[in-house]
Amino acid sequence: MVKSDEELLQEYAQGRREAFSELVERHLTGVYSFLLRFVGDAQDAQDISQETFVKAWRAAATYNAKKSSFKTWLLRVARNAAVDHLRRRRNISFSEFEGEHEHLIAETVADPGELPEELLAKAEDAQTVMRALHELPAKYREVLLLYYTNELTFEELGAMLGEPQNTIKSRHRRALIALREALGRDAPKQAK
Amino acid sequence: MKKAQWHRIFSPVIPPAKLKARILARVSELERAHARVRAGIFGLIAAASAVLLVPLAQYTFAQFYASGFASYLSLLISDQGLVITYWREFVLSLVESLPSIALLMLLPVAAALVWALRGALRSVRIAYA
Repeated sequence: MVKSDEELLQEYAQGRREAFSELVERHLTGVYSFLLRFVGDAQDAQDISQETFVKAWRAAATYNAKKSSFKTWLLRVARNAAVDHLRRRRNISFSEFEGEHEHLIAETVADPGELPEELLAKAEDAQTVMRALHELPAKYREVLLLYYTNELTFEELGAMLGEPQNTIKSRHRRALIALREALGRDAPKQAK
Repeated sequence: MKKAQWHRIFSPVIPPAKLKARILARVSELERAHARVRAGIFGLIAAASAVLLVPLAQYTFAQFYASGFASYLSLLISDQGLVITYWREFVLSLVESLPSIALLMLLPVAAALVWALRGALRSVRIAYA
């Protein structure tokens, strides 16, 4: 029987040190995938992954399973570490994460729809997606990555980012539209 | 289908093979550092408890004799027939003659010593594993 994250944490607290190793094994791919695409650099993603698990280890006693799943909690730690890292490198400003009344726009933005064949073919290329992602504001990137790569629900995303679900849904739609535009813009650059 | 398309585009990336080992090595290093600090703290508590335990134990033993508890207890060996006949009175006398104040001081200190020794041993095991 597969043990839950909470059971593994409890076992670790009781002295079974391998339990933490199992938690790292279970969540490393998700954390690393998010970080790699969020910060856009493999070495930085590795450093922040390490920082994330060290922070999680330090704060394990404060984790409350009633408030959120371990995965959501760990991704919040990873996201905060990545934001701090980008701020240190001045890649993003505080205003990129300031709230806005996106839910008002939610009803008016166009449906992102399916990707046309030529954009889909380009999106299959990891480098192209990475480039396009980095043309987006960080708050769009994080919503797309946490939703699609880490498969968080809008509810979990809202709780994690401390924003209403409607704001997150709206931001997700806008992020998809922005990504489509970025992928479209990338086409002539590639042709040159 | 639309969602699946995006999921495929954002499918997870396999982390480098050495990353897990690097993370676990760092956590292990920190665990050992923390364990060394904890072992020091537990060691100090254990030493303080042991120092306090000696006079408290002497005082408690003295109280056992002064209160008559030891005399009542010796009846178990010297006159078992009397103890069996008047066992209720015997138990009551034993309880009444217990040096409760001395025990109330001794037991928490003894418990602290055991707890600190257990903690110190655990921490030493992690620190020098």
